[in-house]
Amino acid sequence: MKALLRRELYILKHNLIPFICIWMLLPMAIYLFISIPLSSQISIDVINYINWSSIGNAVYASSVLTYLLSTNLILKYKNKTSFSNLMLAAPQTNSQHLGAIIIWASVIGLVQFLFSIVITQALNSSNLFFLDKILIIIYGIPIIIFVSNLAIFVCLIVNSKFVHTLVNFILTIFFLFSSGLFLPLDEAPIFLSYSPLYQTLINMQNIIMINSSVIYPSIIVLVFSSILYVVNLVISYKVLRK
Amino acid sequence: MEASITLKSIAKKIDKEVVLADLSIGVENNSNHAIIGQNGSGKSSILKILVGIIEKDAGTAYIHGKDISTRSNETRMITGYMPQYIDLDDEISIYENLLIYSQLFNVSENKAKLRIQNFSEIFDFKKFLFEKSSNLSLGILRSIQFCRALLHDPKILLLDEPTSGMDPQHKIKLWNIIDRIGNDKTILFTTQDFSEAEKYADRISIIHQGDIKMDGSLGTLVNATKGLSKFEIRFKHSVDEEILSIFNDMPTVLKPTINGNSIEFYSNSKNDFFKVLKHVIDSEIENIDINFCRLLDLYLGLVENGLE
Repeated sequence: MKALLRRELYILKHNLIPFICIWMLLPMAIYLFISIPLSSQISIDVINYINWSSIGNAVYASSVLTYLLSTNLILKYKNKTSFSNLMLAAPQTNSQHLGAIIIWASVIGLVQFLFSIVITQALNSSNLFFLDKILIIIYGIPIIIFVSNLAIFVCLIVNSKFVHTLVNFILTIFFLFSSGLFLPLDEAPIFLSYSPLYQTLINMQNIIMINSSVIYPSIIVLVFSSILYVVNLVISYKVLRK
Repeated sequence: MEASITLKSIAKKIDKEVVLADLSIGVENNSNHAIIGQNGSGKSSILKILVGIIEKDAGTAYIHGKDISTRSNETRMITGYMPQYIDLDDEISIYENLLIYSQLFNVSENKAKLRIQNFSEIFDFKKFLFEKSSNLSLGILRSIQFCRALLHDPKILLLDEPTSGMDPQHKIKLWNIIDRIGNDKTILFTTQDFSEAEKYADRISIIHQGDIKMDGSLGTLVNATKGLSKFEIRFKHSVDEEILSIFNDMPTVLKPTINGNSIEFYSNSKNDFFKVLKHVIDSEIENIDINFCRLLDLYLGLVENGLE
C-alpha cells in the first residue's frame, strides 16, 4: 500500500500548485455563491447564517473533492487502463488497492476541510477556539471516509456513464439542499433525523453554536464506512479482475 | 525436468467470446518457452491470467507449485511481467515509475536505485530518467518496461511480445540480456517473430483459437512434419487454376495453392515434385525453390488447416 500512496504523492508533487488553488478556491466559491446569497434569506438563532454555514462549506468542499478523487482513482482500475493492469499485476491485494484509494482521497479531503475551516473562519472573522476546531475536524473525518467509500461503491456498481453522471447529480442536489449543510432543516424528514451522517453534521453545527455535542454518530458513520468497504471489496473481485 | 509454470484445462471467455478453451501447458524450470499464434489467439490472455490481471473461468494454474488463485501475492512476487502495450504511468517520471514498481515488490530503495542506474546505462535511457513517458520513443519505452520487469530479480519472466516496437539494436541487447540471465530464470514469452522463437526458445507452443495445437522443441516440431518440404515453381506468366487438377492423383501432396505466378505445395516425396515438373515443363519456368518445412510453414499450415 505504501507504494500506491507514494505514487499519489509523486503526482501531488508534480501538481502542487493546481491542488493548492483548488483547496483555496473551492471554499471561497461556495462562500461566494452559496453562503452569501443565502445569508440574506435565512436567519439562524444564536449566530449569523454565514458563520453557521461554514460547517456546510467545509463538509461540502471536502466531500466533493474526496468524491471526485476516489471516483477518478477507482475508474482508472475499472476502465482497464494500462495503469490498472500494472497495478493489478503487482503483489497487492484488492483490499490494499481500495485502502490506498480511500486513504489518499481522505487525506486530500481532510486538507480541503482544514483549508475550508481556516478560510471561512478568516472571512467571517469568527473566533472559534482551537479545541473546537479540532473537534470539528475529528467529526469531519468519518464523513470524508464515508464519502470516499460511497464514491467507490457507485463506480463499482454503475457501468453506464450516463447513469453515473445522473447518480452524481442527484447526490450533489441532495448534499446541497436536503442534507442540512446549507439549508437548516427545522423539521428534518424521519429518515434524515435518524441518519448518523445528519446527526454528525448537527453535532458539528452545535460546536459552532457553542452547544454540546456527542461522538457516537461519528462512530456509527465509521462503522457504516467499514461495512461499505467490505461490500466494495467483495464487488471489486467481480469487477476489477474480470 | 521440473515444471515451473503449469496450466491445466484453462478456460476464459471475454465478452461472451471464448479466448482460451481447455488449454493445458507446462513450462520447464529455467527454460525459455515461446508461445506463437495469430492476433486474438489467446497468447496475451495466458500471461494476464498468470499475473492476475484477469481471472480464469475454469482450470488451475500453478507457478512454482503454488496455485495462482489462492496464493496470488506469492506467485506475483516472483514474477516479472512485461505487457504488449506501454503501461508506464505518464503522470510521473520514468525514475519515479521504476521506484514505485520496485516498492510494489518490496525492493529496498537503495537496491532499486542501484538497479535502475545499471539498467539505464545498459539500455541507454539514463538521460531520459527524469522525463515523462509521453515524451519518449516507443523503442526506449519498451526497453524501460523490460528493465522494470527485471527490477525485483524475478524467478519467472512473462514477456508479451517483448521486442515489438524496438529497433534492431535494442532487440539484440534485450535478447543478449535474456541469454545472460536465462540460466536461472524461467522465461515465457509470446511473439509473432518466428525467427526469434526459433533462435531463443528451448520450447515452442503454437496456439490457435485458444488452445495449444503443437508443443515441443524446434527440432521436435520440425520432425513432426516427417521431412515435409515446401516446393515452389514460379512461372514467367500467370498460372491457370486448372493446373491444380494435376494434384488430384497425388494423395501425398498437401495444400497445393496458386500464389501469383507460382504454384506451391508440400510433400515429403521428391517424386511428387518431379511429376508436377513433368506436367509443367512446357511452360516458361522462372525459378524453382525447395525448402524443408520451418516453423513459419508449420504454423501457417496449422492455422490454415492444411497440414494439421
